[in-house]
Amino acid sequence: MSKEYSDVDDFASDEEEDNQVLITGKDAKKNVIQFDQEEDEEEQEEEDEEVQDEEEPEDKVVQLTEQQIEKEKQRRLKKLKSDKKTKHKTGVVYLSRVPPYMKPAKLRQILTRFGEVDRLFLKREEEHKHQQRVKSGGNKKTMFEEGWAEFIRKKDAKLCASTLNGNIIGGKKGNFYHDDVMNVKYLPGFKWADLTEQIARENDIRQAKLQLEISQANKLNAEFIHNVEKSKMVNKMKQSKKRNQQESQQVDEEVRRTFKQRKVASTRASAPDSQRQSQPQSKALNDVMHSLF
Amino acid sequence: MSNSEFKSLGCSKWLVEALNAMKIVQPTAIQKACIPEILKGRDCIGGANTGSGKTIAFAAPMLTKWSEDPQGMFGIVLTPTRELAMQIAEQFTAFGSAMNIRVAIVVGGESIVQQAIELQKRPHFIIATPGRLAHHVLNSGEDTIGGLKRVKFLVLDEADILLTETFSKDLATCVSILPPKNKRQNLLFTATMTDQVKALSDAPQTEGKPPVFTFEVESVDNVAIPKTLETTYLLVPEHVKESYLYQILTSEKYVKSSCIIFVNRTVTAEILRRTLKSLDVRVTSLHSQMPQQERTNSVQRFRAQAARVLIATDVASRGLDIPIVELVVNYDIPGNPDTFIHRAGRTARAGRHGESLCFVTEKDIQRVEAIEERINKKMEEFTDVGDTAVIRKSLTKVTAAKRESLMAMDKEGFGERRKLQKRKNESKEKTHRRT
Repeated sequence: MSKEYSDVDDFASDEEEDNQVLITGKDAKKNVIQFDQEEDEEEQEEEDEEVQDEEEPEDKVVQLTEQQIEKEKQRRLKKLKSDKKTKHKTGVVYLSRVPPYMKPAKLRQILTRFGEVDRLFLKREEEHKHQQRVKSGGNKKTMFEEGWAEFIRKKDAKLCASTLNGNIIGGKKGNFYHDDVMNVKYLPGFKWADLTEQIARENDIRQAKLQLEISQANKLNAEFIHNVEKSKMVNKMKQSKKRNQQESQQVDEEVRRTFKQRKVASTRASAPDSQRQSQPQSKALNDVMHSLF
Repeated sequence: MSNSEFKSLGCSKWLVEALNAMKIVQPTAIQKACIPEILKGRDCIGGANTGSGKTIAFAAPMLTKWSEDPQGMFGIVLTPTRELAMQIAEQFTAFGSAMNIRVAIVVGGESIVQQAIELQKRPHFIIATPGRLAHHVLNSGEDTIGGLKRVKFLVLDEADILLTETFSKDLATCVSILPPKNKRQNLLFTATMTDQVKALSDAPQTEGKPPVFTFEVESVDNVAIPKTLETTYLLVPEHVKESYLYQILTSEKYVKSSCIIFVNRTVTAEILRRTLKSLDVRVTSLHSQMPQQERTNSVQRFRAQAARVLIATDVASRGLDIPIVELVVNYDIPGNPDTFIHRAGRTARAGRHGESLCFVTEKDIQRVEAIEERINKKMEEFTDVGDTAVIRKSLTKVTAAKRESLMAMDKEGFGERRKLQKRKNESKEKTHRRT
């Protein structure tokens, strides 16, 4: 399955389109967890919280008496536990096909019939495919190929899969999507984090590797700079030596190090033998030559 | 008339006028020698420096003969690279526009069906690369390739490279459908005399045909590169080449000049392109692992000076005629000294001034010596960019950019497709052997 979402860009590319949808989902969750952030930072959700959200409750805390703070803490702890539980309870469904040109908002509306949907991701069709479709006179709208949806409760996800899978969307008879057959699969033991985990891990590895390589390159560079300075020094020493000795004796240039040289290979007829590439002529080539002149 | 020269060589009036309109007035040595002989109907082998007008040397007599008796599928020109084929086709179209000439380009990387349709229309001239033409010969019907049996001219441009193992199989297929060798005229043009070309010029005379006319400008003066070309070298360690290149490209002298950078491998070309692009140099590239559309685009971009730096492998080393090129950088030194001549020949064309710079690493000394021996000229040391400038201005920046582009390439899987193709071919060969 990793193949389907191995490309990070795919995730990013959808943002303009279904960002609102995603954010609404996130906001809903934020409201739930808003209070339990300041002290239990290690428990923070993976989602990035905005600074504003953090400040508001702080002001409130100052005004409260100690007893109330204690109460508040208790409450928060409870909330946190329940929240952890809800995280356990989430269920993810996979949609192998999205009805043509259906937008995330519409799909969310359909899935919400079965329960609260948190996050939803649809994979857009590839750029060249889209271009080809438009070129050959097709619809210009964006099409989505497949998608994942996260239900807050597993129960709802299962219900959604068993009800919607292989059935038409239904609703009012005249609806555009009335007769589209859905394909929904509940993914047992699968969490939303599993989807993004691999990409995140790969990114991390790549970043670490990059840092390592850059530091290595910097070492090489430092060596190079050192060598350049050294060569300047040596050159100056040689010059002054020459001046002193007035070229009384030839300075012997001893060979300090030799490098293995890359091969020279010439095909020219008049090239010296040492450079010639030995080229056994094949029959095919001979035939061609005979048929030419 | 100022252009009576071309007329005196025997070219048609309309062609002389067309050449005149393009400010081509004075024939070069190879044109003077070859055009009359080809018009007489002799086979011809022509060798001359880069940028000395070999294309017109075969185009002019072919067009003259064709205009006397216009017929479909009059001549075939075979070239080793797609870009060269396109360039020659452009020139043919330009010369013959007054005569409603039809020229077909048959090269790889483009629609086979489209090409077959075009061949059915019987174009006057076909400019092709051997691989794709062979494919048509093997797979197309009689109505598409039947006309090839009456071809009057066969031209092998850059014959030295066409007559190697790489092309032999496809070339044999292409030639097999043409009329027998004494019914057509064969023209070979090259800047290098290889064993194969030599062997052909020494080949016994075919019956019913005048002897082969061989002409070599090179033998007159033993200098293989244009006189207006300045050759310099720069000693530089392998891992800081990029920094030097960047510094040179952004140095005051070259900040505006168009230049081609030659590398030995497609991977190097891709790394350099990404690195320089991230450093805001207007750069484009040309190598065999790009889709044909992109290849064509990048040559056009470079021609139109939308990009000022072209990074290329040896696919661009031959024949491409882009007059604006001022500097050729040999980022890697080629193993074959003659490749250097071809690469350097992208600049200093038709009497213009040009420069060629070699990046010499500790392992390339022998190669450079071979080149110097070949061109009969000692290179001078390049002094415009000093070590201090590189260390101060570009070293850190470029190394970081290079690593980043390496990472990006790794992520995007550069070269995967080629590996896949290779594996496929190998397995195909294996099954072929078994059966």
